[in-house]
Amino acid sequence: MNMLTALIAASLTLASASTDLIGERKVSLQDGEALVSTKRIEGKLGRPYTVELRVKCGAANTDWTKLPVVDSEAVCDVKPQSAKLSADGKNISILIRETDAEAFNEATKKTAGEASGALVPQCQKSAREFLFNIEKYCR
Amino acid sequence: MTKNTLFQTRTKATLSLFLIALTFLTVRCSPILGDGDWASGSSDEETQGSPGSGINPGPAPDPDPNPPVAGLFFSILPGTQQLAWGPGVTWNGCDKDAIVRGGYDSDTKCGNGTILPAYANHLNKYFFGCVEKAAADADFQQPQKVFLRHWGTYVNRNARNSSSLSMHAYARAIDIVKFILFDRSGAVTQVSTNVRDFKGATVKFYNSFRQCWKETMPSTCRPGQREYVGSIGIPGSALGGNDLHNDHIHLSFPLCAG
Repeated sequence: MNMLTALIAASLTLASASTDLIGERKVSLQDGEALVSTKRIEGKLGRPYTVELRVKCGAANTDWTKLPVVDSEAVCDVKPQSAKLSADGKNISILIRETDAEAFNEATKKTAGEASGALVPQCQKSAREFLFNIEKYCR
Repeated sequence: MTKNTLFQTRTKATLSLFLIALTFLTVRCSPILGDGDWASGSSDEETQGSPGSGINPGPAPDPDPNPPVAGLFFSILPGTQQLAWGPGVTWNGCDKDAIVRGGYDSDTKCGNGTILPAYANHLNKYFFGCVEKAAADADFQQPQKVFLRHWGTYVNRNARNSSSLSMHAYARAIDIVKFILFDRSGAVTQVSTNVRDFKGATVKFYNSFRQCWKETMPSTCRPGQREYVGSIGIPGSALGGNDLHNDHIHLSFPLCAG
């Protein structure tokens, strides 16, 4: 049964470790590769997801986890698998949803006291492309 | 039971549990395996909020017969409410007569915020002076008013990566994303607090503002606490920083300040 216990423990550890990573996608660049990771990071009201960009230049076989995050953006919602290189090769685009700031601001005018601390902004329904400019990398 | 049967039973049990664990992992990690899904799990057609979120402001409170307190930098509505962890007052970010206005995640749409009364007093005493000093140090025109694009005031939550309550839970913090300065001529200068924009005059404004805010903290706060409050933003900035706040200033009023 020891093997069984170890197997379950390992499974649960893996499951717990993956909770903040929502998704990631590699994008081939002209002279390298980019990794776009989406994490769930609490702490920014109405922007629970953070999209992080890492870039690997040339054919280097570096471990992604050892590369720094070169750019990031906190968003209301995101399609992690939509990351792609723009046609002109200058940007990596990813589909996001912005926070509905107008509705939230209106809500704050109608709520006071303790209830105001529980207000959470919603995301807009419409999607838009967010662009990470990558011109300065791998030059 | 023979040894062989016992071995087969154990093997079956092990495999079953492995499959259960695998199913669990697959469900937990399904966004990673999927393609084209929203991180929140919502559909393209849904108006989806953050998971577990929802705006349900309920009925609007009765209009207050008393007008906002005018003539101050931050317009504070009369009356004190009980929050989860202490008292709070309402900052009316829409008051046209106030010198400091603001709204959640917008350059133009205003809203209300909730802050600790002592924090409100501190803001009214020092905040705009620090904005003026920072503007002067950055060679901007002297601001007459400022609109704060922010990411919230009072939010009942823990600090990030911590089991302790955030300063936001005590209504002792405002997350400032952008200062929009209006000078006497009506010209507008926007100062983003995102690391992406940390260059040129913005660096001077940012460093000067943080230094000024730090100096407003009373001597009851230790040096480390004083530096934290102005905070804490851009790695490489004059007062240091961390990447948890690389896209906003977490302007807080720590417990040591009163």
